[in-house]
Amino acid sequence: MTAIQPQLLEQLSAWMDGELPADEARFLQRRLRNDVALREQWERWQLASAFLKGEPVRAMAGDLPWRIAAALSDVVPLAPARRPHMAWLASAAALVFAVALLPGILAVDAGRPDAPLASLPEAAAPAPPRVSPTPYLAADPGPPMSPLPSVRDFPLVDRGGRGWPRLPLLADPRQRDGLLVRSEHLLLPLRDAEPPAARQAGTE
Amino acid sequence: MGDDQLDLDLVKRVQAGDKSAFDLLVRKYQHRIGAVVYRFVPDHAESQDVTQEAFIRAYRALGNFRGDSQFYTWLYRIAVNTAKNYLVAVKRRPPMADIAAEDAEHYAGAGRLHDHDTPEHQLLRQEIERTVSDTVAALPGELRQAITLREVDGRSYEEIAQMMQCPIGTVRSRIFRAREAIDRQLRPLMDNERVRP
Repeated sequence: MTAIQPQLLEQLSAWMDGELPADEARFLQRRLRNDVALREQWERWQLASAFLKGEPVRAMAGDLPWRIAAALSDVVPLAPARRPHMAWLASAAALVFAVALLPGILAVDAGRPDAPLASLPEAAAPAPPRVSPTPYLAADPGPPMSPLPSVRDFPLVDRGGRGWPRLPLLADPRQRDGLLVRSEHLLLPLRDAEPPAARQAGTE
Repeated sequence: MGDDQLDLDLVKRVQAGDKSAFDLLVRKYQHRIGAVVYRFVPDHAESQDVTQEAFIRAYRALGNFRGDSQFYTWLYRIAVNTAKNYLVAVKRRPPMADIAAEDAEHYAGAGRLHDHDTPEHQLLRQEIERTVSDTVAALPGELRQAITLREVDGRSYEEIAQMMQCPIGTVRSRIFRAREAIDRQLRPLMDNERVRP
């Protein structure tokens, strides 16, 4: 392992204290990316600093940073969450942009107050799509259609103003029971389709 | 730029895709996070794994960190939650009472968070503490004063320069030389620790 330059170590010491000028810090950070020995030096100084400050520390296994780095080799951290005021700023910027464009839009008509819309150049207006006439419609329009029947052609039967149900059959209880008795044969096929066990259970 | 700002810069670099910046954060905080985790999971091998998992979770969630709190406080909470989840997963009951991040490291209350460190680790820690304090005590006066004002009192270089009546560049050099002297004594201990399982 080659020895680290003392100047670099002094920069690291000052950076650790947050006292390194920005230009030197950028240089040092580039070195730190690729210089493991420099990062290990940083670790020992941090440990000594914690002891000097009286912070409780526990000496961890020397390979812990390597294990963590290996575990994170294919992990991507979450993207920084957008702050709410950033969304508000984006909305405000869009509003300002729209307001800035508004005079220009109004100036189009304000410059020519008498110019009707129809006199605008044709190139400005979108051309209507050209539809070729369907051959069978164009060839023979056929006989004229007869007019549709009117509602008056179907007069309502006068049932004395009775509401729904209009059939008087169900209003009489005896006729209603008779209708049910006569209609019972419609249910017989459904009854016969039930399994015997279910029928027995139903009779018990 | 203070320590918090330095952390924030490193976090921004990680968010921009620089994994070596996260390695620096790991190397800076692994021993402190390891101490916190060990109070919940008092087993050397298990606490190493949980500490590793805590850093992995922190990395995955780093996009949520907006700098509203200190990075260490945020990391601490992840470590505590990871340790508690681990205890639940292995059918051990986590401590009922939560602890504030600022108090956790110094927490010595009754219950489950006692330090059950092994005699080997206690010996190692005592040895490191003694080495650091002995080395600082043996430093020349101006180096000792500079490193103490910086590390213990948390003074800026400008303040130290005013107090020691010397240029800021001299302060920077003295602090660096003091660290070098400490590191020369500390490195053999750390290298021994590295080969230990």
